[in-house]
Amino acid sequence: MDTVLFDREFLRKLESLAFISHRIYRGEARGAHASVRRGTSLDFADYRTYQPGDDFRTIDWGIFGRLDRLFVRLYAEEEDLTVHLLLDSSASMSYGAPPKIDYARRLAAALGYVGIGSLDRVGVTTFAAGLGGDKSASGGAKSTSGGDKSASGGALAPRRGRMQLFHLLEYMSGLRASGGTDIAKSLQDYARRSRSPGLAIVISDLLDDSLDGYRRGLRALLFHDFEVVLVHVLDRGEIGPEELGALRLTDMESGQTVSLSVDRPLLAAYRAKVGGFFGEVESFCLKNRIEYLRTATIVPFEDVVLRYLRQGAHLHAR
Amino acid sequence: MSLSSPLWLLLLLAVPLIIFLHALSIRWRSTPVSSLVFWKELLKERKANMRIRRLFTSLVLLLEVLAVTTVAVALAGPRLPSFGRGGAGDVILVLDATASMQVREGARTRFDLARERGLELVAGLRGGSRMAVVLAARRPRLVSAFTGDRAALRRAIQDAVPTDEPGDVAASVVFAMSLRDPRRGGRVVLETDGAFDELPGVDTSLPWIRVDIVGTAHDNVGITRMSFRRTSDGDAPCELFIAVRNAGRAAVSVPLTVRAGGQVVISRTLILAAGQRSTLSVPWKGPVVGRVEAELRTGDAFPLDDRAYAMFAPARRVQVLLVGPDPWFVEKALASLPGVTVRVQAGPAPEAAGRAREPPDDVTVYVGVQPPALDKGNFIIFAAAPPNLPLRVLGSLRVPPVTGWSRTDPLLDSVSLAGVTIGQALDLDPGPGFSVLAASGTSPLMLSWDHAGMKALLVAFDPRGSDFPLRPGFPILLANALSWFFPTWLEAQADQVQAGNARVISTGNAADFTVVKPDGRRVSMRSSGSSTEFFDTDETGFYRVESGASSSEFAVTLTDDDETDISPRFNAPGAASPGTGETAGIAAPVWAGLAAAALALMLLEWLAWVWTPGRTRA
Repeated sequence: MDTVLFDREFLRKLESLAFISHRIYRGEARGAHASVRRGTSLDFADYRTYQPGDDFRTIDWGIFGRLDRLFVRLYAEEEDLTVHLLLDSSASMSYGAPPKIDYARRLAAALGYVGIGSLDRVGVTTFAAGLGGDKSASGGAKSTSGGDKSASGGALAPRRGRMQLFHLLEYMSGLRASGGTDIAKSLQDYARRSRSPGLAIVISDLLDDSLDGYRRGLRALLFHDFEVVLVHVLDRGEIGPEELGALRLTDMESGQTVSLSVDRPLLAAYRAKVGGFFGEVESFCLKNRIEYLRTATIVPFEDVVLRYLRQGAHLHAR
Repeated sequence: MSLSSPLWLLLLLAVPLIIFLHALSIRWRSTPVSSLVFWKELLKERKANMRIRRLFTSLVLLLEVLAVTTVAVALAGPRLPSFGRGGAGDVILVLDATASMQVREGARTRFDLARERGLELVAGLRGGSRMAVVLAARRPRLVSAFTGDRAALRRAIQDAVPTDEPGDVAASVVFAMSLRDPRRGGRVVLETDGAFDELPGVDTSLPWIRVDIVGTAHDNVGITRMSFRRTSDGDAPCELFIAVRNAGRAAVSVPLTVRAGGQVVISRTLILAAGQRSTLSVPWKGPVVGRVEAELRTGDAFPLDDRAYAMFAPARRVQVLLVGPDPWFVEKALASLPGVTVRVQAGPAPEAAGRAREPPDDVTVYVGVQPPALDKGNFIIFAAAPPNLPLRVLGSLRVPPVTGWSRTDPLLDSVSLAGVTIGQALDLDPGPGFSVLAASGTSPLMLSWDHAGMKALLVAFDPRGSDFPLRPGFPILLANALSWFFPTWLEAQADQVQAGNARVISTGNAADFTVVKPDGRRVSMRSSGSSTEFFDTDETGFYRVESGASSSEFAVTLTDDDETDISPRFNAPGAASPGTGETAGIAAPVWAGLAAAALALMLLEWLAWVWTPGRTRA
């Protein structure tokens, strides 16, 4: 990594945060999150009829006295949470000062750090025209070094533990933005392939050729039982460009150019257009219970992590 | 529209330069963007607006191009016709029908083209407008009075034909102007070939006068004069004088043939440089009675002036009655003159014969005898004073010296009185009407009288008492006197009249006579006395006059130096360039309006430039 991702003070603050999942997922190991499995925690979950072999200690004798039938008490099992960091690494993410990709990888690293610190399983996948591990993808993250089998192609498979944190940081430091964008295909592929749904944090500028591509992608995640948080990262120049005159605009992804005489009315129309898009995204996320956070690179990413995500109740103090 | 300085139109070459500079001035700045998706959407949605904006951008260029174009046109000095082919108000159409309008322009003549434009004018007449049609030739001819009847006007124009006459177009235009009623907004349109230098008396800058030039420049060679002149050469009774003009831009060699009595008398080839006038003067060896026709074989566009016609009338000699005792010197001098027959009457003055009101002889000469009261006729009187003239004889002068004489009077042309000795002369006191030709002190020695059909040369002394008859000036004085009495005395009686001019026809006692024109048309005339003027000489060739059992012929010819130059050269302001075949109007210049328009365009261009969005950062 070119620069230090986090300073010590920031890491200290992160350690106090943990992910909150609004859903109950079936985990692979005991963790800090409720599981669909019934377990031994003190949190009552349900009753069921007694089956031979059940622990007698779980029989609710009070009900037996009233109904003359045997029911056992079920308790919720506390399991770990899988946090899927889905990071847009298309060429458009290299736009801006600082580049959006730098902002995004810091954000992803911070969130990964929080997850790993909460004993959650954290995985990172980049996407552009496809998933980072896809051959079809023209871009993505470099393979992580160290021969870790959990990292394959442009993805870091969800894992727990300290080592995963090292892999995560190494993965982020080698991340470069390139290639086109196909959000729908990428997220659909990821949702289909993923065996353990959980909290999917999508970090992207959503600049797809088809402006509604994000809808299909996010719907696919929801369909596969993911809880989705969308972090919309933009540069100030994208939200409100100010350059006037005869411009030959070059698309960073396709290389396509458009020559325009840009005047103030056109800029206003552009801003209105972008504003309309933001509104559509917000509306979609609200309708589909997707947590949506739009941020510009001018906003310190520490603020985003420590303030805005916390306000959205996806992070809570431990 | 005509342009006075069309070279200024070269300024239009700046237009491509402006466009090129505009293309250079647009500097596109390359700007990378994360995605074009929003821009493309905008372009799709705001396509119309973007187009308007591009138009606005190009409006600057458009205004610049318009401004340069307007300036160029303004500098070129355009002049727009102040009225169109038709329009409201009366129109007086003047069709040039002079001989040069017969010049061929391709398959048609200039007159055909003029007639066609005249018909267009009729077609363009608005309701309530009237038109009159005037043919311009030697004299203006009104072929249609003011009428709004389109069919009648078309008929009048279609029936109009060009004449063989050299023209006075200006007189016809002035005539047309006199027909104009200013209250009705009358306009005068001249359809002409412009084969003249100017229109004297016509203010061509008037906005209600328009000159349409038809026809193009042509080379032409023509006969501009043919006449016969008597000579005293014993071998030939007269000599032929022919003038030929090459009005073209190249040297030519043209065969000339002169026929008389059905035979070729002269045949030779003339070589003429560009613009050269050549004259041919040769003794006439042909018959002196009958038709004479000269012909140039040129094959040019104007064959009319390639022919000239003359008619030899029977020879007529000057009959002179010489009255006086022993007028030997005078008789000899008169007899030496060609074509003069002298009859001498010695003895008393002709009172015995009575006062003849019509002198039987052409000239009566009194030498030393008192003439009777004289009436009409031609007289030469030596040393006497007619009683009925305001001339008093105060006495006599002895040896009066000649102290002065007129050197400009035709009677004393080439006559010198220096050193003439005069023994005695009458001391005359002339009244009003006399011209003194020579004098001795205050006493006249020679006088002329020309009044009421009487011409007289009075000499105050008797030639027999002077040495003047011994001097060369004496027969010259007599010859000059005969030339004064008969200006064509020394010319052969080759009868010829120029087309369009009146021919005086002597009809004697006949009440009616008929003139047969060259094309066979017969014109019946009623005599108005012993002679009648015949004006219908619009066609060149030989005319026959039939009066009872007798008949005579006369020739009508063109032979006009100006008419031979058939190139359109009228260059009045606003007239079309010759050869363009365009409608030319005499009109007010419009450069001032165009200059104002150019200024306005430049102002608009500046405003558009200022208001162009993003101009400062583009």
